[in-house]
Amino acid sequence: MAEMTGPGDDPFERLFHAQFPRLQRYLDRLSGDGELARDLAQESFLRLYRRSGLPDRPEAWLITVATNLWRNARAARGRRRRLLGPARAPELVGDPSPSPAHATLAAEAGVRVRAALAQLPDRDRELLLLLAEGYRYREIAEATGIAEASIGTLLARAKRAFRAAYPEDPDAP
Amino acid sequence: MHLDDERTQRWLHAELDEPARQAVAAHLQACAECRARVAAAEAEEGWLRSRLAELPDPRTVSSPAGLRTRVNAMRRWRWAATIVLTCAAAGTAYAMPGSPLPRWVERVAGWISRRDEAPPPTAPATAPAAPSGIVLPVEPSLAIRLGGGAAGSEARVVVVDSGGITVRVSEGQAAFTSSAGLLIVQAGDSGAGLQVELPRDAPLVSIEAEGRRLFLLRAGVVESAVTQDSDGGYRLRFGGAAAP
Ligand SMILES: [Zn+2]
Repeated sequence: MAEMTGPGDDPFERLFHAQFPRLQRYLDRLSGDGELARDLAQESFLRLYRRSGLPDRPEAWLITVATNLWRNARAARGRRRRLLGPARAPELVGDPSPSPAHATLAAEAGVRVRAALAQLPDRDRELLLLLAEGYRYREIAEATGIAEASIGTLLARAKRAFRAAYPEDPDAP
Repeated sequence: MHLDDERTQRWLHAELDEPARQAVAAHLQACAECRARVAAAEAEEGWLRSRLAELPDPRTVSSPAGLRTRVNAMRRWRWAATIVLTCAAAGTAYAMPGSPLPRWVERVAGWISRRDEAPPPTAPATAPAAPSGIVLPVEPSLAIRLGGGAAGSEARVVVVDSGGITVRVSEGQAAFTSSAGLLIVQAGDSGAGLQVELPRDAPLVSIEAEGRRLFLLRAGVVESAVTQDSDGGYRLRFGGAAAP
């Protein structure tokens, strides 16, 4: 979310600062595995370094590479790990030293969300998480391989699927 | 023709081209059923976003263990990964000019692009020096949470005409952690002096410390009991308080 400021910024540096956190967060939520997410986000950037120049639309390029890396990594791991396992060590959750009660509540809420996401088909999960990171339809289409003209329809379906997978919530519309 | 899912979602996400947008707008004027449909879709979207916001942000602080899982990388890419990982960790605090971090990133990028086998530049042995500040793009809503610090830590807030949301460390040290909608500023033990610039066009920015709201800027208007100093700044005291 943050960006570097100052004169003479290198385009790659700017891109790194602007896009790395978003890419890592997307992968983290997609995989439920913080270490893997970080590795894949790095790998995506390394592939970008390796290119002779920046692609036309680097955000779309990065998210496409990252999504493919995730799909490959998951296929390679087979069943050894669960997708989006709800358990994340409590000490890894949240901000530096909020009150313990707060941390617990936040962790519980996160667990419910993770569990609901885990029940969705892969495509729905990717769509929702890309949307949440603010990617445009064109970028989402590129990353997921879905025709851009039907992104809206599939997003609507994915939202319904998430709603159905989430436990009863009095605040839900 | 009523709105289908595709057009409803595109309306919501500003993904319609101009003729389509005008057609939808005209239809919504005339059709209560579709207005209700859009309202429901907006509520659904809001609920979904609130749920997803409950997911913890990835920990940006790295550990050497983070490297173990790389399997297929060639040796040099493993090296490179080490570097970028460290950099990402340091990246929790986005450095402004004056920090050693950007220069270091540059050297790393340079090293990777050269195809020699020289060892990579050494990462700073400890975390890079505390950055002199952070700049965030304007978001729909941002909470700035001030924590840590000795009694007498102070943030001076000014509302400016343009630019990003900026927090500079003018005295002492502070660490920054940012995620969507939230910036955590943790002052060092000896306290910190902060300079905060909020652009007038930021829709909603609140500044909190020790669980209390100290300052609120909403739609360009300061809603806060704090009075301005002679230079037009708002001085907010924080730090040193017992935990609530
Ligand atoms: Zn209608």
